[in-house]
Amino acid sequence: MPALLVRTVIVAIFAAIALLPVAWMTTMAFKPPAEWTSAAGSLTFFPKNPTWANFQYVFTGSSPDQIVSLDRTVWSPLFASVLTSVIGTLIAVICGTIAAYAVSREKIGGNIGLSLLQLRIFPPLAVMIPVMIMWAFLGMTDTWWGLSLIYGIVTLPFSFWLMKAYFDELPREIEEAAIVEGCSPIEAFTQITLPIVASAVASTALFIFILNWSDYLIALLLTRKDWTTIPIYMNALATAASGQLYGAKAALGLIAAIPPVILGISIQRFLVRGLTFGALKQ
Amino acid sequence: MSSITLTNTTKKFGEFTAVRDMNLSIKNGEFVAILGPSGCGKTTTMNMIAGIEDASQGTIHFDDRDMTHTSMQKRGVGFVFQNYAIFTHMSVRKNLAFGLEIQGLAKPEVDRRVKEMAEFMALSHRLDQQSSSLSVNEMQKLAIGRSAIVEPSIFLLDEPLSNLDAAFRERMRLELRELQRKLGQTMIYVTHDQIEAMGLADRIAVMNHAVLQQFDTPENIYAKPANVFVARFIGAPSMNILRAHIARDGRKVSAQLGGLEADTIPLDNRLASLALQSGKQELLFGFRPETMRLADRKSAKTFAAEVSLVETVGRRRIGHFQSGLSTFVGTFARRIPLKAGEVVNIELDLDTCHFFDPDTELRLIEPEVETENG
Amino acid sequence: MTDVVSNSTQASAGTVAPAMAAQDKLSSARLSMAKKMLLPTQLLLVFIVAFPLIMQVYISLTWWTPLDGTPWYMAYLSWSWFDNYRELFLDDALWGAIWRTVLFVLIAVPIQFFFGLFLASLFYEGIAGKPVLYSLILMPMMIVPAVAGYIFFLIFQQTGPLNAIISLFYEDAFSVNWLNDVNRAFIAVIVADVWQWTPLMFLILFAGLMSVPEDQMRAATILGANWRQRFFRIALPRIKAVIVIALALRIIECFKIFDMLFVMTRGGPGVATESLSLYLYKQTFQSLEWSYVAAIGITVLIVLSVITGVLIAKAGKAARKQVEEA
Repeated sequence: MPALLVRTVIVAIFAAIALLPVAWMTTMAFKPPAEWTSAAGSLTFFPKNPTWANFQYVFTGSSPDQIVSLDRTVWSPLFASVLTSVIGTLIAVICGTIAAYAVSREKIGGNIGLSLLQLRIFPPLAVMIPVMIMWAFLGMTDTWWGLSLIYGIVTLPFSFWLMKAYFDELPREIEEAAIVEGCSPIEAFTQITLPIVASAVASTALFIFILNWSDYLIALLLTRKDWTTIPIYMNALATAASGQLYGAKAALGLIAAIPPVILGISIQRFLVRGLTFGALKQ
Repeated sequence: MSSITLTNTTKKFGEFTAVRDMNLSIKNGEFVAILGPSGCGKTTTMNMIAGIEDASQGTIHFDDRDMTHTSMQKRGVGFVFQNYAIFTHMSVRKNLAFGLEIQGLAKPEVDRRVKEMAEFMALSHRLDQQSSSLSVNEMQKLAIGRSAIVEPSIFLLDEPLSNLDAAFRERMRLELRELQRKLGQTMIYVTHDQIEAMGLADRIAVMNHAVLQQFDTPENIYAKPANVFVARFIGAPSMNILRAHIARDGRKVSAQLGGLEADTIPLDNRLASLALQSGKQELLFGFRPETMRLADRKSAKTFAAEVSLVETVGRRRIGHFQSGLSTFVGTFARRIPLKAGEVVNIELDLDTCHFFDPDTELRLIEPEVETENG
Repeated sequence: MTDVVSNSTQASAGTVAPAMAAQDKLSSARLSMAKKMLLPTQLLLVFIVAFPLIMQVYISLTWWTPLDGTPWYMAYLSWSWFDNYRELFLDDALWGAIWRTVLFVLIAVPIQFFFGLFLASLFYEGIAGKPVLYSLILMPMMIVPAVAGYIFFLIFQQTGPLNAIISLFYEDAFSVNWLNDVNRAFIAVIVADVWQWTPLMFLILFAGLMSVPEDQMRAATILGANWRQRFFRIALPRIKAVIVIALALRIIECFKIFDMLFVMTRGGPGVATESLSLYLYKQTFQSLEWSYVAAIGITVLIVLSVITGVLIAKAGKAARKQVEEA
């Protein structure tokens, strides 16, 4: 089977190209400053003197390799990232799911789906001026609830369209039967329909969590200091005193990259559906 | 036109053997049905001939060319899929032209042959429509036309009539026969419907549990089934096969159904010598429901049975009988009176009765030369 | 689930006749529940779409900036009518950024498409070690874009691994500053975007190819079609709608690109890699001309609405056609 071999080799080359840049950052996270660039000698893929110092630096604020200690460690951005991503996901999934159910079953809401889709199409920076003004006006800039709320809103189109696709596939008769047997419409939804789509809700939630976690731009615009998330913290880490902190930033990059990669692979079969707003199924 | 020879062909999917040690030789221009219950390996056999599946062992020859490892693209067979596999994103015309265009034929030639085939298949008025708009019956025709247009030497059809409505199936069966005659191709046809196989094929290959049971003309499959499976599978209602004890009283040999003396059937010379040559006391005795006759009175040739149930199906009357330990079925013309509970005398047409070996389940066959002399 | 279904048939069969009046009451109860369920999303949309939109139009008609010291609702004090809109048509920096963004889309998206399609076709034909290679190929798109930007920032450093690798093939040490050169920086950001988003194209196109009925591909093979003929005559035409969706998704996302560029180059050197989003960011935070940014935003909104309106209608038509064919 030479053709199979040729195809496998080509794909393996692409896979290597996909992997190597990430691997470079990963090994970088374990290198001491002397190995960060070729300025001080030759570069190697694997660290010559592997060290945990980069992680120590970002978690504790000081390390033997660095003169300047950090006034803010990774703990608070990590907490900010987790908290705002989770609450944003909850807002999006809860609002999106019930709205999708209403639209799917009663065909109300007019062009709400299209409006939501357009929310994803416009470049955020083209519409962020009034949002920034509002957030400042309402005291929501650089707060966890302000960031969570906007995360919930910008990922709402995904949860709405994804859940609508699932509800559309589900026959109405299932709830009607429950209602005939004495359930109220609310009970029919919470006790019959929701359990059936529970795994779909879970996949949608994980997918939206990845999106929120991966955000950079919104946090850049709507946080200042207290509630900056990991990607912001990471890219702001270069200090004037110590120059580029390649290794420490790589360690942060690794911390930021791991959750979405793990979650993404675990919902691999859902990704096509998720990315296309439920238009395509795998 | 090609002959097809399968030699010790075997297909395994992991541990599962789909086709075991198949030896089949199909003559040039023959129309062969592969018949068997679902899961018997008939579709796998055809897929191996088409090259869709590779044979795990053994060889496949078209004429004297070894095709075992030739890719399906190069085998030059026509294949009609069960679901027709119409290219629904193309027009009917494009579907028909597909094979010819792939061969790189000039456009006028392609157009001419498409037109010809469309006429033959009565699809002319549909040529420029999207093929997805066709009815199932038309899709069937298009599928056959699309394969036939490249004039393959071998034509394979996978249950092509199973999706059609009954009336159209009848007509399509005739058209298939007509097509095969016109093109003179070797045609193989997979089906689980014995009526289709019996009505269409020159020869039938009966398969069960991955093994070829018998390969013969429809007449022989019916009249001389190779074993218990074929005997039961062909014919409806299926052949009665009962345990029989062979009793010998001087020169007279008889079979006692269920081992009971009361249900004794005297055997003729042919059956007697078969039974004696087998050297076994217990055999399986087979007779077809349609070869049974109700005798007016009890005689040496008859045995008594009670009618337990009577069904009327169309012009036939099907009687279920109980005799001693045995139950069996008989079919009669509708005018024959038959009442449940009544005891009747039954006479068998011994020429059409068979013995089967209870261990191998093979039919006992008279050694040709000796019977000629005796 | 089967239980629920079988119960339903029994139950509804038994209660058809006396249920007409109850049915009306029930459906109005369900409708009012649905309206309540829609409410949170509608409120959020009013909060984040309707209200800000009015605000943005209002501000775009003034000279207001946060430097004025007046709150935003007093922006009418510097009312300017359509001066901002007039200005943006003459703003070379803006049009430069738009042109670069379009160029970026026109280069990056086709490369992603062809690599993605190529990979999808290889997977479709069959490869060894499929699950592992599939996950590896998908990995780049799961990396946080800002982190991906940092990874490529590292790779394209003058003292970074790319130059080190190229040096292996040169007598002299190869030492190019990728991100400080106008053309090389543009190439670098395209490489980074292609790396990150080819997997998305692959993922969607492969899912499309897998939906092509196997028997049709076999039928084409048996009719003598080779690999290329099957691919171009059967598989590709059948996944037209999928291709449209994949391209639309990437064009939209690519047009919005910000994170990766911001981390890698901040739009530099000069404005060599400054996309529309980066230009708007700089206007917002460096020049602080918020009313001008608002005007650009409204203009972009109008143009994109028209374009996407047409495209969505077309995609819908293609999708319907695909459904009819299947």
